[in-house]
Amino acid sequence: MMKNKIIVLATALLVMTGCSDNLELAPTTQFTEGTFYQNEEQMEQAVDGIYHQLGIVYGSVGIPALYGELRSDNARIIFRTGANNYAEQIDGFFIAPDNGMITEAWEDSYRAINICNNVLYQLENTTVEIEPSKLDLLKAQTRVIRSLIYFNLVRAFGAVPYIDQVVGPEEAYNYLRVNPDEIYQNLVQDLNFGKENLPEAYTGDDIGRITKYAASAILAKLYLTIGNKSAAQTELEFIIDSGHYSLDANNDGIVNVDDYLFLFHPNTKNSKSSILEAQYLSGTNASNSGHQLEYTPFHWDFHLPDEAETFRGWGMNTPTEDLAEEFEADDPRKLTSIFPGYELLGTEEFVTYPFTMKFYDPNWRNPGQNVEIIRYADILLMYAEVTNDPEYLNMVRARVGLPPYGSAGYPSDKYPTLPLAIYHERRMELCFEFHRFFDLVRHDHALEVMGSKGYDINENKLLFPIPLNEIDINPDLNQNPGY
Amino acid sequence: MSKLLTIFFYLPFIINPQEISFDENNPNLEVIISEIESQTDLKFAYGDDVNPTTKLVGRFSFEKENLDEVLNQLSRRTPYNMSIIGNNIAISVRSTSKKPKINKSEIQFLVVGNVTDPNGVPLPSVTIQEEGTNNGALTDFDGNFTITVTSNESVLVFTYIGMETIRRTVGDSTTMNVQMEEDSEALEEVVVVGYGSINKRDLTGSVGSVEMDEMRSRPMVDFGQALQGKLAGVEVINGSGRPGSLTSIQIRGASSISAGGSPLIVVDGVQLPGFDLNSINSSAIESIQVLKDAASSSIYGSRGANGVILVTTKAGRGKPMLHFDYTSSLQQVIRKIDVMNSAEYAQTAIDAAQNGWIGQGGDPNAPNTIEARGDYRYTWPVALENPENLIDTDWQDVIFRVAPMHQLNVGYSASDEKSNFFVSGGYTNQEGIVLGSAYQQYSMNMSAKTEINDWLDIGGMLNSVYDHEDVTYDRIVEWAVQYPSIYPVYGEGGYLGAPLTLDGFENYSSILFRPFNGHPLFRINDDIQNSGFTGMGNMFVDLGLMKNLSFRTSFNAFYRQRQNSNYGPRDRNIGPATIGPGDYSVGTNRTLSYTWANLLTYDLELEDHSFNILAGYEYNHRDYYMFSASRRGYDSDNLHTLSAGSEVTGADDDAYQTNLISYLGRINYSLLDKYIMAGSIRRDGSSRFGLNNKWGIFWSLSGAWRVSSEDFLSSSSLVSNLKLKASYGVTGNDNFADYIWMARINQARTALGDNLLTIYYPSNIANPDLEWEGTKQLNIGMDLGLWEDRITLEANIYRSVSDNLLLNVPIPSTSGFTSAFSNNGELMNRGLELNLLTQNIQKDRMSWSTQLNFSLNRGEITKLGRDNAPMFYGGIGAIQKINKVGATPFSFFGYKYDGVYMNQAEIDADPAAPSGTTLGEGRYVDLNGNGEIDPGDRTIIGGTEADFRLGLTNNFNIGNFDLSFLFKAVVGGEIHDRNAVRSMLYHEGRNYLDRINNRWRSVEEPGDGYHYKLSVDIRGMEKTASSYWIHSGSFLRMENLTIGYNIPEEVVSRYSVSQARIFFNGTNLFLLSEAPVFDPQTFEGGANNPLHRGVSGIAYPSATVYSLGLNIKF
Repeated sequence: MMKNKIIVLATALLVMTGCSDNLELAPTTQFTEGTFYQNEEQMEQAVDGIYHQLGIVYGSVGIPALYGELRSDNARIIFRTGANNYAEQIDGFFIAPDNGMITEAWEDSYRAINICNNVLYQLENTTVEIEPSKLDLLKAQTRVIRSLIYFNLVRAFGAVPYIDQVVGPEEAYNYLRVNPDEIYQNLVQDLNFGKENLPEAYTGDDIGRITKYAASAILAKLYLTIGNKSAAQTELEFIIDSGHYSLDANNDGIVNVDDYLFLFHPNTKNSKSSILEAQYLSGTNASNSGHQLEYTPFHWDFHLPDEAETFRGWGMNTPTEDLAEEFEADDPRKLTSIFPGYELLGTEEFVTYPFTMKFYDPNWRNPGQNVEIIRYADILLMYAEVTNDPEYLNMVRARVGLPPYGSAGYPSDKYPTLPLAIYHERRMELCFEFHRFFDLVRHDHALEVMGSKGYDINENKLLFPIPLNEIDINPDLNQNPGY
Repeated sequence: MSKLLTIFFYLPFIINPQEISFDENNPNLEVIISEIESQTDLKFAYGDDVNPTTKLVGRFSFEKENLDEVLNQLSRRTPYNMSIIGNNIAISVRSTSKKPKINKSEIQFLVVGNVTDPNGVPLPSVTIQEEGTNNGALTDFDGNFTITVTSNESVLVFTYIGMETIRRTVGDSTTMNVQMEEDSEALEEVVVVGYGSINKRDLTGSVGSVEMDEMRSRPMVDFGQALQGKLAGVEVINGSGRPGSLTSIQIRGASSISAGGSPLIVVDGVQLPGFDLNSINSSAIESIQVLKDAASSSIYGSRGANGVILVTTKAGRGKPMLHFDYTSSLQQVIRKIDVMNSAEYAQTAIDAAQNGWIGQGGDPNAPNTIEARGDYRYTWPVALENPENLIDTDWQDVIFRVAPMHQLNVGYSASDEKSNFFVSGGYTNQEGIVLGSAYQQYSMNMSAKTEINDWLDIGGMLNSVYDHEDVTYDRIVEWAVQYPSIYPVYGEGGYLGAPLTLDGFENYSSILFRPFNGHPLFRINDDIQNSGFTGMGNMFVDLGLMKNLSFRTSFNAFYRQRQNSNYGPRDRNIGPATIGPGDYSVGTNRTLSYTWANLLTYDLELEDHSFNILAGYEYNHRDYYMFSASRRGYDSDNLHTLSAGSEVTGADDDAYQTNLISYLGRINYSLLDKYIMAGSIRRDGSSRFGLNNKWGIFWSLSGAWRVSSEDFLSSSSLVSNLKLKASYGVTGNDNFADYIWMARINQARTALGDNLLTIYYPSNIANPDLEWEGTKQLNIGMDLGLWEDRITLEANIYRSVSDNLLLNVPIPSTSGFTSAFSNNGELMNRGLELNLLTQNIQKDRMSWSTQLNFSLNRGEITKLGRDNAPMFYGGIGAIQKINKVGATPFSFFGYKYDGVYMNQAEIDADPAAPSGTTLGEGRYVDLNGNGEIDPGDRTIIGGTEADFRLGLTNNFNIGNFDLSFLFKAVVGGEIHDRNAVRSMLYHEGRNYLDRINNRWRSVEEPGDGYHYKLSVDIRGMEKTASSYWIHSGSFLRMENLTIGYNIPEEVVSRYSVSQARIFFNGTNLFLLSEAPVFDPQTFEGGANNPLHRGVSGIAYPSATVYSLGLNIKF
């Protein structure tokens, strides 16, 4: 009896200490840093992540959309409900520094930058054998996209923290706002690295990736922004002379209005007219774009033309009457840019509620139309600007059948000089493509133009506020004046 | 059949007769005692006249002898009588010298009788002894006894453990019925604590107890409701009235910010992997103990910081008993929210349009036409100008209903000295007070324990619950409050009543609310179902290893499977233009948790010292898996299945695992029964903790001084009990997600041309130092009993500091992330708890007792992340919450609202009034005095922590009637009303709360000075978080009222029923609260999430419940 008990006790003590202690469990549904970046394919998948980020920062509530369009005289908010009025604040120049949309756009930008930095870190420190030219190609794509994100940040916020490596939470506090000039110098280096290492074009499944000319186009815009016209001219010539691009977007050998319409066809992707696009794909479980939903009317009975189902949009970026009036009477681009409204289903009564059709996709639940970041018409108009040569302006006009600048049919009474004609053309050609407010600021016309249209604007309002949240966290970050 | 059942139930008892074996030569009496004690559950009891060191003469040898026979022989061969009395073996000295002389000529009296407990329930095994003799007897199962005495002057002594001893002189009567009274002196109440139990008198920590027997008349589904208003320091919130939704419980304030704040639940030793109160049928629960302080909960180490709720299920006790409980209830919404009727609404809608028109520079007298005003929102349907012709629908009447509920519980229990057995089944069928909602629960519970031999016990428990919920789309209640009263339930064509189906309203679809996401019946045909199965159980083996040393190994398992499905129909009855594609989603998840626990316990009594020592090892593994899928594109609304959908819109899964390894120990030491000390320690290793901090140590020290046992108090007639106690200890909180310390990689898809690429990117910032949160708590308490415990008071004060808080600390987003988990921050809770129990009347046929509990808690954040940067939380309604140093956790944050600008002078005098401010607009306080309203003026505008809470219970017993009621009061604290926010600033023509009738309309009609004028154009502060949206959360509630009647025994016994009781119960009969919400304690999304706590809005309201019920025992 006693013996049994001792055996039991011994067993008891044994089991009390004998269990294997497996405390190092790892997720089974996710990679971790230790299990990823193990081969060339995974390195490429990490690089491809930057295109995902490009889709986010050029999304419907990214910095280009908020700053370039919503803030401009092209778009306004008619009706939008909700517990916040962030969009109205941006639209109406009464932004509070805790504006949630601006905060999110800022955070998205730095998230994207961090992902670029991480990719570069992994590429530089990998033990995977990758051919040097391949390695440079991967790095170049990443550095160019990072530059573009910084370019937008600087234009919208002014001086911002510049980070080009992976930083931990503690280190991040040390990165304070850096003068735009300094940042631009870095961006020029990155973009030139891209220009040197990226291919002229891609084939097959790689079409849509960033090219040499995309890097050059961003560089051109950057030079224009800092007033270096000659450098911009070099870049623009580099692109135009390459012969890779044409206004014949649909590649049918004829340059006409169809090419303009083709650009905004839902299935058009990376056409001959396109230098760089944010990539989306329609369909469920795909990579959808949010532009159509954000920009269609905030109205419960809204439906797309020829659609029998209603869907309410968020009513961001409703075209202004001012924009509608600036279109020349027979400009075929007007209906694509500003669709006047829609008929009620059932009663067929017309509801006046203009919206842009530039992001139209009949697959409205899961739209996937690409968004133009830089296209050839933009290049031509910039080239006209730096060369003062109306020929390039007139190429753009000719495509949609409008009389050339200087000819009898041209509204010279309204746009008597070439610069005015170019502003006018840029607004007509590129409205709702996130260029307008950037252009106004670049030309130093924002105060004058917006002021004349009744917007409550002053010098301070040319920049967004640094998100309040960011200053709360790191009080060493200073705020832009006026906020 | 019935015989078969009887055999089945008795089987465990029949196979285990109690057998004794030992062989001793000339032993001391104590040797015999220890042999028998070690081989049975019985303890010896004897008086001063018995000396245990007495040597007994002769050889006592027994081999598997029946206990009765052993005692019989011992009684014969020694100078002692030994007899079994209850769980004791009584030793008495056989009196040889004082043997009473019995005159043979005297008549012997035969006395028969019956013994019952204070409630009249028969008491078996009561010892009856003729005083001064060895003559004795025991009562049988039915409390009956027979004894032959020598004289009618003989005195019979009735003794029973826990009851006061009764002496009765035989007298002339030959029948003697005795009702025993509970022994108030015996503080032998046993309290279940972690990994064991302890006499209440030896308790050094702070433990709250609820006996579920008191709750039998309450129609509750989850057992958390049993704690409602009963325990000081335990905050119970029925966050939602939805059938099947869970009560939330917080013990002694929030001790965490980013990790979970719910207590650990342990059911018969099974540690539940999550906070799930529906995993066991409350009628299968015997009692609930809440471990509040560190001394009590530190034995649960890294899972103990939020307190621990110990659930003890029923075990068989006493004679075989079949019980049957049935309750039938009617439920009704607790109250309605006052909203505008259609005439008031029409006027308000016109006001808002007109004010918007004037505000943008329009001519006030412009005609009400689209041509004149350019935008429909500055116009209104002409019909609004004749409000007397408008329909006036009360939408809350449309969706609320009086809903029945039925609950049935049947159970059987039995025990003998070796085994016990309990089995029960429960059924609940509850309709919800909101159309379309319902809940059913089916449960079974079984527990058994038996002694296989003198050193081996085996037992276990099995509990299973299946429940099913029909859910109504959760915004239906919100819409019923907000949908304008001007619309009929159904309009033209039988479609839902809405602008498009009403003449003259067509153009106001987005302006005067719409049927889409707005008409209360828009989602009424959604088919939403939740169901689940929970099974838990344990099996244990107790080994008596040596004298006083025992070993228990137990295997505890928990398994839960939940499934939810949601079909969104094609046709929502708002017209042909709005036929959708139909969509369906299904989600399922399962949680498995098992624990193997091994415990050694050692008891030692040395003269004045007594020790109780526990040592243990535990291994816990948890495993979670979820899967969900969805499709779209259905041909008809009749098939709710994935395969009928044409387009797969989603298919996801996830899994995680947790391992926890623990070593634990505890020692309780009592000196002279007056000075008690206890210490516990636990070492936990968890897979959740970061690589560098896998192991943590948690401990406590506590002591108590039973002052009333000291000589100077022991004879006091005033103070019957006084105990002072103190404890200090460290507990942990590991209530956070697995793997969060690791650098994980997210997967996503991105487009490139017409291709879809799979991409990967970092998901978070790694922190290999991540560890549990630690809470250090000091508790000082006093137990006081006066006048033989007619009045008892338990008082505790505590101070706890939770440091190392696992915070999702905001970091500069330039790092690529907006937050990172790290152990930072500190939180302090201080509080006072009082529990006063008074026996106001204690008579045979009448009693009245009162319980009053009071608690207050003050939580304060004392440290946060780097530079104590405050943490903001938005997105819950229009209000922000904040965590900042010096504030209570999750305070409301925003601008301070200061009423309406009533005249131009007020605007002119206020430098902070924004330019263009007009009369009737709201004023906000310029706290930083910089002459404008800017983010620097935001401040804490409220919090969810109450100033104090009260619970008051009264119990009356008068004859066969009993009455009890419970009031609960919460004083202080604020709530945010989201309905009001939506009805005013989301607007879209939602109906307004009734009090908006007091708004500023004009100088002539300035309203109450608080509610500002309305406009369809809101561009200012109205859309910003402010105290305008904050209300007092104070309330007084009659939580519960029960009136019961015990049908007299003589009536029920005819039907072989031993007890029958009928009762009425009312829950939530009365609510006093000034907040314009259904119930100040129903929060959307429940109350477990601190972000949701205090935010009232779309929650499913609570109900007033009227019940009739029946309890029967056979």
